[in-house]
Amino acid sequence: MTPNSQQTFRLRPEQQAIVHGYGGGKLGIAAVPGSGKTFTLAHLAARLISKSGLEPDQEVLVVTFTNSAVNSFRARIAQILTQDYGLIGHIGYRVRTLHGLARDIVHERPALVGLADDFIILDEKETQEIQRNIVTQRLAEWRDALTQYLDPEVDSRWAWRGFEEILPQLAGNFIKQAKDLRRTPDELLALLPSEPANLDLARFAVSVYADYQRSLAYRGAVDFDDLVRLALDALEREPEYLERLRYRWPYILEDEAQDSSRLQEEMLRLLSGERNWVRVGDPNQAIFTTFTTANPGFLRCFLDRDDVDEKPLSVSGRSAQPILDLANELVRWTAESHPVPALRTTFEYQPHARRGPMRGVIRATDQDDPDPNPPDDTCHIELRYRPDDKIAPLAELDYVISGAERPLLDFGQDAPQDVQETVAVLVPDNNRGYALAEKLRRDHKDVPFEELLRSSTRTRQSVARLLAVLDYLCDPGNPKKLKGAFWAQLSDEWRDLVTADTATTAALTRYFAAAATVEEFLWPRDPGVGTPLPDFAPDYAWVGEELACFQTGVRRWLQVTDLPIDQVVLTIAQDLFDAPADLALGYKIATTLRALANSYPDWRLAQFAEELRSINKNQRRFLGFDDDEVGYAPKPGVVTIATMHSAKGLEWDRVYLLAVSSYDFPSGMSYDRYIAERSFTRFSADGSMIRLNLEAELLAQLDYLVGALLGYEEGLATLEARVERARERLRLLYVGVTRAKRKLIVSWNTGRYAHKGASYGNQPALPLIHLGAYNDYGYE
Amino acid sequence: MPLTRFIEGPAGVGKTTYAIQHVRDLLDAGARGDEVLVLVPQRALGWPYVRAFTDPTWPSGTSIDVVTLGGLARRGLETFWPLVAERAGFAQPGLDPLFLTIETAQYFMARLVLDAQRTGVFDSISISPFDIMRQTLDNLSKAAVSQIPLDEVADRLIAAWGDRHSSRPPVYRACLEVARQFREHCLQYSLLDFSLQIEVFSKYLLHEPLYVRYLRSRYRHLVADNLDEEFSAAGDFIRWLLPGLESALLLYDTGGGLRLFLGAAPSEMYTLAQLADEREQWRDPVAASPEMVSFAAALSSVIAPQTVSLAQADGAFDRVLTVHSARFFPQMVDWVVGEIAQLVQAGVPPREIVVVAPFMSDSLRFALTARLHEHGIAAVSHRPSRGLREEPQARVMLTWLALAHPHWGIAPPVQDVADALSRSIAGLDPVRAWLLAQIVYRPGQLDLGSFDRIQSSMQQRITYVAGERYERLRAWLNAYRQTDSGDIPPDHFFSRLFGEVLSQPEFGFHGDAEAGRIVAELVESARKFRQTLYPEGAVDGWDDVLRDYFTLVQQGLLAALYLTSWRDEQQDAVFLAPAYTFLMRNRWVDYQFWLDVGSSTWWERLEQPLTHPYVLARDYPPGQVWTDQMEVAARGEALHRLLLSLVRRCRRHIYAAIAELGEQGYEQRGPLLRILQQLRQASLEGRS
Repeated sequence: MTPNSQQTFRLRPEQQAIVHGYGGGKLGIAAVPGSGKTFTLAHLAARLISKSGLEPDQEVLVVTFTNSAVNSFRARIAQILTQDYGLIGHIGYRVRTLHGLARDIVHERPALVGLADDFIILDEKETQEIQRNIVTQRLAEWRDALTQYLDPEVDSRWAWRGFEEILPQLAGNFIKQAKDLRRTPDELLALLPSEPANLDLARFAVSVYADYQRSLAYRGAVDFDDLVRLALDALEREPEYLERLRYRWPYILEDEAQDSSRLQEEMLRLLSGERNWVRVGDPNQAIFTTFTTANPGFLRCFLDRDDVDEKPLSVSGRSAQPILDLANELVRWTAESHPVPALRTTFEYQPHARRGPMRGVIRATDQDDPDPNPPDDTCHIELRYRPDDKIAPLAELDYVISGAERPLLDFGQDAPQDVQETVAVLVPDNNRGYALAEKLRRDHKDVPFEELLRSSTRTRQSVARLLAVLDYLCDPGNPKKLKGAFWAQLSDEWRDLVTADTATTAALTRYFAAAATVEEFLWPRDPGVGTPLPDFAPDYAWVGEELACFQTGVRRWLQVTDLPIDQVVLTIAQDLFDAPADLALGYKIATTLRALANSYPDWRLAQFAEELRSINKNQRRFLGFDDDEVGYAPKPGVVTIATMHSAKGLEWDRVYLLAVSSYDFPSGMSYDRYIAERSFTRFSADGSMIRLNLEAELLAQLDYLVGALLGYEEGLATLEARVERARERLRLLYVGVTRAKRKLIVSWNTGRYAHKGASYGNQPALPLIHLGAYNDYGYE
Repeated sequence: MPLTRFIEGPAGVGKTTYAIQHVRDLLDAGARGDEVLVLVPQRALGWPYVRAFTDPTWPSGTSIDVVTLGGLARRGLETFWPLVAERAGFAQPGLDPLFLTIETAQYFMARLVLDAQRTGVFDSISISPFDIMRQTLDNLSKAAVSQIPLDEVADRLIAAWGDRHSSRPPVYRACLEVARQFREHCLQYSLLDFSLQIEVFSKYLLHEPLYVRYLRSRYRHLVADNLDEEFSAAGDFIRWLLPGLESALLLYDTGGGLRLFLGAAPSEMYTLAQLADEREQWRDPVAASPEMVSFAAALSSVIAPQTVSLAQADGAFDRVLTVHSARFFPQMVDWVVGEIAQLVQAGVPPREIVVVAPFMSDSLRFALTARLHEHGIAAVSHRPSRGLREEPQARVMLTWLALAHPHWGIAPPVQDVADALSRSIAGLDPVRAWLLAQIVYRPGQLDLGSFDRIQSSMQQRITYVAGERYERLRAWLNAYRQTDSGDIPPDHFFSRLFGEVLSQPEFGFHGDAEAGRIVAELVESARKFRQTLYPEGAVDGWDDVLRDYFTLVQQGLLAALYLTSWRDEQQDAVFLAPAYTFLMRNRWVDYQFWLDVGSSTWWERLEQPLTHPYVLARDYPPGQVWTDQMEVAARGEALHRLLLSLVRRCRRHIYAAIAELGEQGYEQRGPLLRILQQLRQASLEGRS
């Protein structure tokens, strides 16, 4: 359901029952895709704010999963409060992610958990860098012990190199999990037995964990996982503080509860005091479980509790009936007929509930629904699977661009008719998305698209402009970079105008070529004899003025490069940007780089430029700023390229799902391959010929240490991880399918190793084969 | 017993003005200026007196002491050192005392903290060595100003922590141990940090008959202003001093006590009133408009409804309060700058405008100053200190220091050398400096290349004029290396480089007052560093000392002090400062801008894990657990005091600026925002 598509006063009966029926206590809601759970929750929040008699210092607390969801939630509540209740839109509630909430709690009483008031929160990239450095330093002393995990049959240098590459990630997962279990390095050290040797990986990880925590303490810093752990510590250590927060937040509404982790549940349980706690989620859309601490089991258990009132949100007007049928069939088939029995519990599926409402079945709307399902005759489903068909990765891209019955070229300039649908290509990982974007950029310039691959396009564009200027300032004698900076500082509209006129572009190129000595361009020895400005056409006379401004700007920038980095960035951002969101981003970059400068006193412009580059490449998770409060809104006629993960919560008229193969969507079949079972690790000692999944084995060793497992038997965790991966990918496919309103096109490819022989080639994913048959022949 | 008067009243009733007139009356009645002691809790709070006493209309030839307790202690110890050094436990009484600033105290403390941290005693907390250092020094100071034994600090903190978690008490003890080691080092080498100054003064000097005679014969009259901001130790001193005086005027700000977090003891100081012969309560503010009084009442009605009800506060405050909400932080800054520009355009002198925030980051200061500058409006900002390495001119000096000692193996990056060249050589622009640096400097290579040996086409591009100046600089460095390298301490090196080259005509610092000021700071910092860490001189020449100094500055551990004087802040410029800093100026302005009122930092105190201002106050009951309820009450009171103090120092209008998303993009939901919303709601309801 799009944010504005429904009048705020028209609620479906199920929604009505929640919004107006909730009078307090614990409420669990299993919501199917498109049933308007955020919409319902926002209405419930607004009603509680206005009608439940909150004191001025009380708030309804809404906890959700992502930063963008925070923004859209806030905007919706504000809108409902203003429109439906005539209240000021921004008081009486607080919307936070779990980490945002934890930050609030810790920030208010930092000394309780041993932090100074100005503690630093390190982001993922920085924590990974610290972990990588520690692993590198520690490796020499552990090399002998760790070699046992490598396959003796493969080239040892190659194997060790591969192992070295993944170790920081292994250690990082271990640390994350240990923090979720609230275990300190010292506690784990005390639990580690001296024997047997098959726990060596855990021994190594504990030593890294200890060094890592010391390193954070030295910086006065915490990571995201610490935040949640420390918030819980604060609440437990200071019961009065907990009581105060319970008073402040008498109602807690939790969205996306299927992604809740143990600590999140723990924290909200504590804060709610088990009083007024509403949890909404869809266990069937839990897609963040592999090697994370999220677990849909927590929501399921909550829903099953006797003291929890369960209400359904089972009606969805999002998709046309055939698409709903396909999604329901995926759930039914998995639950009843999946060839691997262990996977049959992947989905929450209770078509005939033993108690309360049914779960896992999407129902279409009634006829008089304010936002009914699209008519069947507008629906188109294309599942590209034929036996013995082999589709190479590039061919798959060609297929979606031009080969499908409904290709992406429908949105190009030469399309036979103007199609004003919203459209998305959803991919399992960023790389596949980049490949498609690159191909469109190169071969099909007329197909408009935008990438929704981690950070927003707008953030990346702004960062790129700033980066071009910093790149020049790092190498101020370089005329090419000077030219790059000139283009970067032009506003988007002006740049488009200049590039549209070949004569102006050529004149500029000649001009910068003539100004081969940058110093004469900027500081001519004889101020009267600078590089003469080119003659621009009358319509483009302003380009000359732009050049003169640029000259002044660059001189100013060059004269501040030895100031602290935040001041350099603020100076440049003020010159480069006009839009408030961009200026805010510039401000945030300035303060972020400043914090880095404090940690790395020997950094200079070049290193800061590298940091900016990593933000630009999405290596550093960076919260951008967006004027648009309701989050990402697909634009008709513009192709969105996104991962299936980032598409959650969104919907498009037409959706392409790419790479639905056995590699990205394994089903526990003998031919499936698993990304986490690397070819340089040895086979499990039990003779099963299964290569160890070191992440899974390490976490199992941790579970054993803390008593969550009675014993540690090598290889078992690898097998369990296969099942877990297959489960998560089935749910991911379900998420992908349910993004489509009218048209759904699904394809797969053989993968890039297919040419090396059949054993390496991917197969179509098992559910794709089944859904293909279902779609063609339709059977129960 | 003298005639002692105790006057209490809120800010703005004219207490200080009265006190200045009182001093004048004393002088007119025949008292000598040097018989009058004006005691203030903080230097800046004495500025109104200094301004008045240096005014041309003030009777000439009168030198009146305006001092803090620390200043008085220091002066006494400097003069009477031999009387107390041995008794106070200094190991080498013959060694002259060296008074440490916070920065210089940190030099030595840094070593102790790093050593302790390596043993793992601080592992259960996550704070940087710098913070451990700062908080340990804080504990020393608080023990001294509250006059509680150092050993009691850990006991009090442990008791206040209660049974929350077993990991914390050992950390408090470890912190105490570091403090003890620091104290031992100070006693060994006659180093006096603030805590030791107060302690030796109170415990020994005030009991030394010679000093007592001196002090009692010197001062006949006392004016103690802003008692609400004073430490317990100052109260003890006043009690001790009173019996020998002819008159004493004690002034107490009823809404004050803003420095509680630094150890001020307002309630204890209030008991001084019991010693007064006359007590007066002044109520009516001289400067405030009725609307401001209404605003103060309205704020109180929300924050402390037990004192004033909202109904009592009429809605008149609406006319003196503007609240503006922006979505992004820079938008808020722009709005503030735009409003200031309009005020200035309408004829308001910039010095009548202050911009306050609970915390002002360097980025915010820079953004505000730069934006105001674009409108041609001057701004002055109080900044107690910032890392020396952040000063470009200091970095220039450090780069030359490293290049003058190539055997250290420290190779500055090319960018630093280019910056140093550009700033050192007059007329050399950054691009040509970059070109020159790339040619003559190779990191790791011992010598700087000669300009004469580079290609003539490149010489032309860089210009011969710049080349000739470069050669002179290079010759100085070469000469230093051959004759003096490692033989002179860092302060001497900087003085010589500045005096012999950089300040000369045709070089970058010539006639540059700002560069001169920063080099002076650097020289001073290096001198103190040498005296603190090497009080007996370096053992094997100065080379290691030079390198240590270089490293500490590079790590950001050494800061430049900004000892602004009242004259700096008298300029016709908008004053940008943290709210507490502004209040400690005891100034009134026509317009105040409160920045970022959504931020929770308006309400949160600087909460630190190793120290505690309330628990270490003398009157805090030992053994009492510090509870969350007490914390909330203390914060509420502090916010109340802060806001009232601000309102009482504003004559015309207050602008409250909100950024929905804070500096880092987080949504803001601080208590001050809620308070303003409640007022707005009440005002709307009142109107309807």
